[in-house]
Amino acid sequence: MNLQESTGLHRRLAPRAKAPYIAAAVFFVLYGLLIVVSPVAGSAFLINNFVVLMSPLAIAAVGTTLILVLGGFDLSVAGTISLANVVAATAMQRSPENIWLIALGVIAMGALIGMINGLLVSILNLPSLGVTLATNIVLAGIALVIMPAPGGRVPVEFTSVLTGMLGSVPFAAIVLLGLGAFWVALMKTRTGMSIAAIGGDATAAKLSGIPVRRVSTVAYVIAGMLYSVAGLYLCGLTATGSPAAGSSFLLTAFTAAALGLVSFKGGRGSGVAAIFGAGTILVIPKFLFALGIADFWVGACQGLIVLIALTIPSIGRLTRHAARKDAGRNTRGSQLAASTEGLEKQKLHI
Amino acid sequence: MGTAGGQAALMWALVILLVPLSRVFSSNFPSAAMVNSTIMLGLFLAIVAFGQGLVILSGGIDLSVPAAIALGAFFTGFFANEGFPTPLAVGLGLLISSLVGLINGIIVCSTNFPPFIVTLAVGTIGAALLLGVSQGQPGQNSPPELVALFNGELNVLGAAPSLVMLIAVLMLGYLIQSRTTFGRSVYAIGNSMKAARIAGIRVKFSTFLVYWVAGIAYGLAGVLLLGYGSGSDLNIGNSWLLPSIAVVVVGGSSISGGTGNYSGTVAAALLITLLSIDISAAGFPEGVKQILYGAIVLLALLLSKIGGGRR
Repeated sequence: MNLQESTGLHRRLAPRAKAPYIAAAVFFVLYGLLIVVSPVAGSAFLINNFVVLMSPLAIAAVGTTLILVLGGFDLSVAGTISLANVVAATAMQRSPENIWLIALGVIAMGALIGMINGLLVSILNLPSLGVTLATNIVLAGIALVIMPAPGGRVPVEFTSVLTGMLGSVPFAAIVLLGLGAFWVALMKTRTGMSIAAIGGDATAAKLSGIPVRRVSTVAYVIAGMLYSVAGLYLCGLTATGSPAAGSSFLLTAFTAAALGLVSFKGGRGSGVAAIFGAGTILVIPKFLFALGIADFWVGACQGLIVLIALTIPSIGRLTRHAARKDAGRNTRGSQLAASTEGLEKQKLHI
Repeated sequence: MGTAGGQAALMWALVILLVPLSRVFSSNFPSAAMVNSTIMLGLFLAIVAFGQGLVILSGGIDLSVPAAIALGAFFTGFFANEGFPTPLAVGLGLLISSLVGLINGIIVCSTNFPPFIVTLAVGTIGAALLLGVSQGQPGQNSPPELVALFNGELNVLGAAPSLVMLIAVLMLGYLIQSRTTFGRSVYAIGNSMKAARIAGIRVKFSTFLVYWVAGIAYGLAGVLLLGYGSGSDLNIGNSWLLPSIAVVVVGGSSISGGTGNYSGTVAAALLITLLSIDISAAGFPEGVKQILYGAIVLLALLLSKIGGGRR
């Protein structure tokens, strides 16, 4: 049984191994088109600018992807980014000599937020969508209390590092590279594999001895820390704080994950692909702008991209489903069982 | 159903209890003006929450609320200012705002995409299109007939129109949700989509209808808000999304779908409106109100768990 499960898991994981390459190809083709339309986008300066600009979203999207792989939805991404942004901007203005200590504190705060989410979801068995929606509202409210209107000033010592170069390489590129390496390494650890196993089939994961509660909580903690880093990076980008800093990330983080071909049913997804997905989201408005399309249509395009991105994984599933139907006509019973299981899982998460 | 009914009764009791308790927040409370505001703002929230409640009952969640409200308010004002008679302007406003729900419904019922992302995306598209269409004239004045509903000029048999509307909405919403085939099939779908399908319910069509009806409800709230505020701006819908979800959950519906009762939702709408009026009167900032909404949702989730909820 165990062997069968592990091979089943392997089969389900395998087709997704291509996801980072597909997501990267989409991104690089689009960025190439942008350079064709507006050649200046290929300059070192603008490339650095772009990598800096996509960093907060890329970091947040990796967190979103991690929870999607776990089989949950984490809507607290927006509130956590807002709160981290506001706390960092306020604290850094007050004591500019401790910026790196403050940054560490903000990341710890993200871990705490993630832990609260994780415990509520895994110990009390509450639906992740409901829990993180509620914590998202609370966090956004706290951000609004701390800073009712945009303000605060982030010291240049902080912003210049985050947006600058390290030697001849953009610091942001190093961060993203590190982030990608972190994802790959995490997914090779026992915890990472357990996260994917829980997302694939929580009951089977529990039966095979995975400490579901602990692993789930750890996943939410990592995600919370990533959102905090995203909020910090946003501070570095804007040199100021805003209580609404994170609100746009709710849509874009999930879009980036979708463009990274994540499965919204859990078990499959790649943080590396999500990083490229974040790049794709940000290159499209630039592309449209270069073509002379008005600014306010960008929102509409972003919405459309989400819907299109959502269809990509299901096209893959459709073709695979057809293949499986041909292969196993006489295993109707097991198929039915599998589909009920899928339905139940769907209900659990929505 | 039993626990949802119980929670509804509890909510109504709390509403009645909280009116005199408002004195704690402000020495001017309770007052006729306070009760009047509660009924008016509660009416808007109850209408929005009817749509949100149907969606949640079916097992989804709808984040397109702000866009649909803004579309309803904007286009009703737009057509009225273009010289259309008010009823026609309202009809056109509702029609356009219901497109959001229509598209949500088509996508959700024909795919297995998570409803919250679909509705978020469609709402974003709707809001962006509104921004594009309204370039240069973001605000719209309300036709006088709609203003008259809320400025105290009009009364129906001695009662304020908003009270009459609230009672009508309560009865109509309850009937649709609990006494029609459509409403009963939404319960069934929310409980188990597979069982509903086996029982012969047209799952896809009902799911589609849920989102469309919800979109119409948000549009209607937008139309009324246009009259209440004597005009609209593009952000008119933004402050109604979170309360709409809070109200549904607090009113005794499970956030995972399948259980709930519209009477509880209306009671929770009045309760939360009253609380937020109290908080504003006590001088707390807007953020505190949000924290409260979030805390209430969490609390309701916890209570539904402890209260022997099935999920």
